[in-house]
Amino acid sequence: MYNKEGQTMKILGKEVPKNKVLLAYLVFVFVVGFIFGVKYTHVFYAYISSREIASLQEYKGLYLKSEFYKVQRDKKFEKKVAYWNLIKKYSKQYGIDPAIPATVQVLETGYLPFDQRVVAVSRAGAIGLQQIMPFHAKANGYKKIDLYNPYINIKLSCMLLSQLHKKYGGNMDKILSAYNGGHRQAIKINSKRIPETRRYVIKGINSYQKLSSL
Amino acid sequence: MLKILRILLLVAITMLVFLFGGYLGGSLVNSDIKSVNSLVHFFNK
Repeated sequence: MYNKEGQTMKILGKEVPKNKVLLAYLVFVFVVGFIFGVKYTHVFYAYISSREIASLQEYKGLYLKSEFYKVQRDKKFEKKVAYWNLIKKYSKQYGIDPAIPATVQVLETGYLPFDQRVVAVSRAGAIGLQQIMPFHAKANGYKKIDLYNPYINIKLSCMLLSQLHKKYGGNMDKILSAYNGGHRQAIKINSKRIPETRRYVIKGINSYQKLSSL
Repeated sequence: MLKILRILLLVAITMLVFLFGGYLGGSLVNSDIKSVNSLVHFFNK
């Protein structure tokens, strides 16, 4: 393969200088790395930020013996809702029923396993557990990639839901339709909304009743 | 021995170049620079 001097290589019958081969190889590696970076940086980010949550041990207060009933209740939730502890924390902070963001999560990414919910991106560009649009993140001083962090995703979702809760006076029908289709859909009656929002609201109210009765 | 060292060096350089490419690609996509106008604004700052 090498010639006597060791300066050139034979590739496809041609003599090519070794340094050029090395350069081409490194360019190729760089391009492959670049493509991987473009495609998978957000997955890496989501993984790192989820690990951060695990290390903070937020479950600590959840399994006290005196709170047996609460533990039972929380366990039922945890089967359906990812990061239930975070949902509870932020819904308390923003003064809403934790079953509302839980319902939204079940509706938006409930069909996926927990680890895939964090990196889910919809066709419209909504990101993460609670499917928040990037413009909502930017309006509140976060970057698009921050939505892959479950902490920020759930916090923003609770914030938006509390705003909607105030705006529509706690009417679940309107809150859910506004989360899915915006104010335009929220002010219509359900039969006149777009089909997606109509289905969303019917399914949502159903699962809200189930979740809040747990 | 020298051959093994050479191979190790090549592997290390490969990893570094790959990671550098990944870093550049990731930060390019996830930065909020979208139009030429905002790029100009970014460099004028």
